[in-house]
Amino acid sequence: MKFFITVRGFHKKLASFGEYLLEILIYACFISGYFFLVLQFLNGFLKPVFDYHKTLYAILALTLISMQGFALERLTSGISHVVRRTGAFISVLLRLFRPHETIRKPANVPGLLVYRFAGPLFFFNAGHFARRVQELIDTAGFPVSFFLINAEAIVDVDATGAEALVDLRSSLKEENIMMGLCEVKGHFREVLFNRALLADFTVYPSVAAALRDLGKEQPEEKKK
Amino acid sequence: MDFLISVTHISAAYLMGVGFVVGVMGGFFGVGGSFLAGPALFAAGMPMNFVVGTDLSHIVGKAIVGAKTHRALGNVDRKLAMIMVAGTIAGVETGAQLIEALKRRSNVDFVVGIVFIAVLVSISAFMGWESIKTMRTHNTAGMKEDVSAFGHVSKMIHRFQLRPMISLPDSGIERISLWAILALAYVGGVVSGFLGGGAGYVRMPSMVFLLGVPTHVAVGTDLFEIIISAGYGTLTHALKGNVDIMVALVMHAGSAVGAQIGAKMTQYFHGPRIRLAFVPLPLIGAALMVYSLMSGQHFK
Repeated sequence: MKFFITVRGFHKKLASFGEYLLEILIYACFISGYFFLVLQFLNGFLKPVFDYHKTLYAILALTLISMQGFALERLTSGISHVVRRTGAFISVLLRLFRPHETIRKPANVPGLLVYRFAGPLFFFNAGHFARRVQELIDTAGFPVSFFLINAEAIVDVDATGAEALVDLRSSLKEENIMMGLCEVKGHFREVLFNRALLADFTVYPSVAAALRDLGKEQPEEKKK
Repeated sequence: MDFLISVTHISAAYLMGVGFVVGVMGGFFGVGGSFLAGPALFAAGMPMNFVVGTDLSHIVGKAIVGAKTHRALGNVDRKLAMIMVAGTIAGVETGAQLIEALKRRSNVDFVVGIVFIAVLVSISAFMGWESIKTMRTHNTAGMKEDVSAFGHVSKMIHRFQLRPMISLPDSGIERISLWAILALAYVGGVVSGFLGGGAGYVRMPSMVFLLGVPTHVAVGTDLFEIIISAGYGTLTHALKGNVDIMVALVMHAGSAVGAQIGAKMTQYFHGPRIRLAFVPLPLIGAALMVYSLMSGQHFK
């Protein structure tokens, strides 16, 4: 347990370090730009002031270094704010493109693969979803006869997502694999119902109900 | 790049690199880094009087960035800082006048160089001794709080009864003589005005070990105080023609980036180990200075 907490902590630190490096990189670019554009011009301007107006030069020197200090402090806070906001936005986008997934291979129902897809199914990730299902079937390590999609976390679906589901069902049927859905609710259920697609799938109220039902259908010798 | 004010030719990348390293040191150890910046500027061919003034002005910019962050964290004891400013300004002026006297005798490079080496070696030796002793006395493995083997000295100074006595609630000090703070600040100011930089390598350990100020408050207060004292030092040195502000601006650009990285690194170490890691750094500065003084060679 302690090991997993440490690994999670390490990943968190690594992510924040990456964010931090990005921050430093942007910061360094700004500094270099500032250096080449502004400081080159200042060099020639300050020399006569230094030679003939020492008091003015002293005031200018203090003002310049103080202003640079304040400007860099503001720049640092600004970049840090922007990087944090952008990082959060990117992580939300990534979560939409590649939602979390959980795969179960229940031992008491041979040939069954349960796939939980934790995100809305829409045009951004429909292709990824279809590819993942095919990959899971190919790499399951046993002949898959029933593919159950746990839809409890699929909060939304659009036309592309719905089409992807129908296409997947057809392609799996060609491979003699049945496809079912469970925990279908909310807007996902409404869309499937309105498009008259709900009847095309075997729908279970829950994973447990699906396991009970599919377990009964298995011949005794296959269960063993 | 030609720096017209100090009439030196130093690579801008070198200056930014020095600034970056000094910034990392500053962020990690809470010191200005003049023990490295000074010898590095001297080694690049800058005259010693310009080294002192320029390094001091570069510290102002860095202290502004650091102090703003520490103030937000509540690490600044403003009462202590304002008292120290008085002592430091007097000390900086004394140091700057010493430089002027040496300039007239034309042996400023040699004398400042020798004093610099002596101070750096002493600090390195003291920090090494203190951190090893602390780690032997206390089991510091996994320890988050900052402990010191030198705590009894600050208690002795708190018992020193020379009126007026003041209290510093933000630093957790109930009673201390005003003169003790002023004397410490004055010594730091002389070192700052004479050797350049903010003299954080002298004042920071003094505040922690002699006054008994908690380390994080000492860092924040020192930075706040440096803005004023080094600002004054910049003005007085600039009036005397000892500041090449262009060099300071370029160095500060590098150090601002380095300081960010250094501050992040402190998350992975605790007090005595940080102080032990600090030990070789003044020695590197001293070695650079010895090389420059003995060979008379500068690298650009």
